[in-house]
Amino acid sequence: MRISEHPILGIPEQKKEVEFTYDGKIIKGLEGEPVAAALKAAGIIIHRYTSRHHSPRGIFCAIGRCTDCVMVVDGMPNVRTCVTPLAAGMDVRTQYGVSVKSMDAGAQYEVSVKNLDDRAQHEVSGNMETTNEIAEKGR
Amino acid sequence: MIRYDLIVIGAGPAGLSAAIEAARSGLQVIVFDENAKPGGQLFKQIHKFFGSKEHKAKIRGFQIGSELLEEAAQAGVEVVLNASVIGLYLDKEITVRIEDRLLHYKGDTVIVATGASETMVTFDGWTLPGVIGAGAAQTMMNLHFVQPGKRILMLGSGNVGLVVSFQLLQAGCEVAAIVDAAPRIGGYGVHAAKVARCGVPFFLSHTILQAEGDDGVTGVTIGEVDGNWNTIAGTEKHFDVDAICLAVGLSPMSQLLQMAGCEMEDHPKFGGLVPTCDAYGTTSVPGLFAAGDVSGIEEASSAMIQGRIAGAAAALRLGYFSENEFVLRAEELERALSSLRQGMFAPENKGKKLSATEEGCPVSEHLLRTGFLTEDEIFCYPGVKKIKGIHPVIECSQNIPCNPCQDACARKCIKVGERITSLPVVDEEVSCSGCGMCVAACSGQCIFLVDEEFEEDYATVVIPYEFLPLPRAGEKGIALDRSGKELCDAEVVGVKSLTAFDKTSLLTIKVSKEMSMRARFYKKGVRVG
Repeated sequence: MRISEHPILGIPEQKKEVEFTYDGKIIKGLEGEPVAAALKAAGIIIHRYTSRHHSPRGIFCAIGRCTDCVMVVDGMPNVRTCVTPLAAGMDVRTQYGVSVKSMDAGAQYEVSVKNLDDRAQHEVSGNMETTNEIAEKGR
Repeated sequence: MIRYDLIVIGAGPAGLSAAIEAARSGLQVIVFDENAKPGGQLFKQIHKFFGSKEHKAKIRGFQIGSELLEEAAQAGVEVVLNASVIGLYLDKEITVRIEDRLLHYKGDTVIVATGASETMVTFDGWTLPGVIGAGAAQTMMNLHFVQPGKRILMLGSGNVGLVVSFQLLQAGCEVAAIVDAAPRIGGYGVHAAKVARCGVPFFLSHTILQAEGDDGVTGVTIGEVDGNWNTIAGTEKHFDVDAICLAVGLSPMSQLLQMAGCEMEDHPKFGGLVPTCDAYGTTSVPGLFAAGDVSGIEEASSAMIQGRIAGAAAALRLGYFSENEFVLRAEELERALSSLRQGMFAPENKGKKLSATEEGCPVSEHLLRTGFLTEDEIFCYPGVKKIKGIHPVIECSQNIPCNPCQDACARKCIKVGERITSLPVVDEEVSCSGCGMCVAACSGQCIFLVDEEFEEDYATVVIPYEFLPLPRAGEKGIALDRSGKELCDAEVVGVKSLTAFDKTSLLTIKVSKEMSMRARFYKKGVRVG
């Protein structure tokens, strides 16, 4: 939800409303605000899925440090949406691992992720999994 | 390769201050910052700062940021943004990435003021979208005007956790609880009291067991921990929340200093790995200085002074300051810095359990566990006295470096004295005019004006108010006590918003006489039962 008036900061500076696409859907945001802020204001909080466990990630630090909020923007993967200003017509897509999921490859991709997870459960101890998760998170 | 007298890395409070000080002394200064805007985290700080006049007390952080930028421009400081310093090498050479280019600079002196990054804790579900750093919450709401969530649980009761919780309330979010594994609240009692009277509960000796949800946070379970940090079975509590904020500390971003070959020390008191520095921020590498959080986690107020000191030290090294000039300037700055480092939150008191203030007043365990003082306790403090007619009631119970209340009172009815960490004393001999300047000036919002003789059966209480919508005079509602519990009916009899109050409005509420020392907040509505 956007804050229309703040007790200390007053009314936000007027910014132009622009359209951009999120996974192909047209969405509105404010020109120059971080892509992540526009998504959050539109109720979108999942920015990417990790490659190994297919677990969702979103905004975490909001200052370009943690790289959790990266998405595919105008075809470029690993774009930090929290520090990337929104421009009209931007093509913003959920990132799967390090790429955009195509509709056909997607189903296959999910199966392979599931297999990986199953294997991980059999072969890797609980502790190892936690370590992997943290390493993957890269914080 | 381009040469400068001084290269400053980081345009936050420390870096800008260092650049200003050096540029004023005649050095040619360039500042690099990786962000698109200068000021570091200052522009997200919307609360009034502590300290005294020389520390810019009672000015809000973002306004201090604007002042610094103006000063830097006047001093001729060159600030390069979107410029990440990725290498700091021997002989104070740096490589900077600006867009797609890598540039090479050399500084005769270099000041590293890269600040700190947030530390994390892990728990089940901590990677879910909706689990965010407290800094992220500040960025979203105070810079971009987007609420980080509707209902939020805060982990961490240090000043960051407390201040951001209050800011969340100001942004119109609900704060479900403030949770900390430590047995006592870590930040200033006055910050805790501000959120407590809005009805936010504290859970000390508790930690997050699990963040719930599949695609994002839908809830959280916390549980009590024993003395060995083990969860006590059966103490689990659940909250429906859509965001969890982590405010569990900061660690210095000292990688560049390490890369440059500075002698480093891992110091829990400073928040992690920091360069070994003298009082002027001089590292073991000649001509290389560190200032602000990168040399030890403190507040922005102290970072600004540390920056000035390092800037002066760089000027001395290059001969822009004589030894004499430097000593005078450094003494002045060190005095200002040292006055901020006194009191119960002084670095040497970190982690210590104190039982009494410098004045010998008991430290309230109740405050440290629940976020508010009890009615019986408040009369222990020198700012709370029974006086006829309107008078300030200062619920300041800890030695923190702050004295704007003393300067605010034209009639000199409030005294803090030379030591800015002393508890304010209300002088019952001097009559209060009821102007409210002290109420608005108190950065901790812990001053109230009480008038027990307003009407025969009614008293008035003036409370600081920084929320929207602002109640109107004549409005009827409910008075809340220090814990945020509904206390009694209240009528708003006055609302004052002066420029001099700087966005802190003063509400005067009328309550029945016996509630004058209990009513500390107001909400619109009708009491049930």
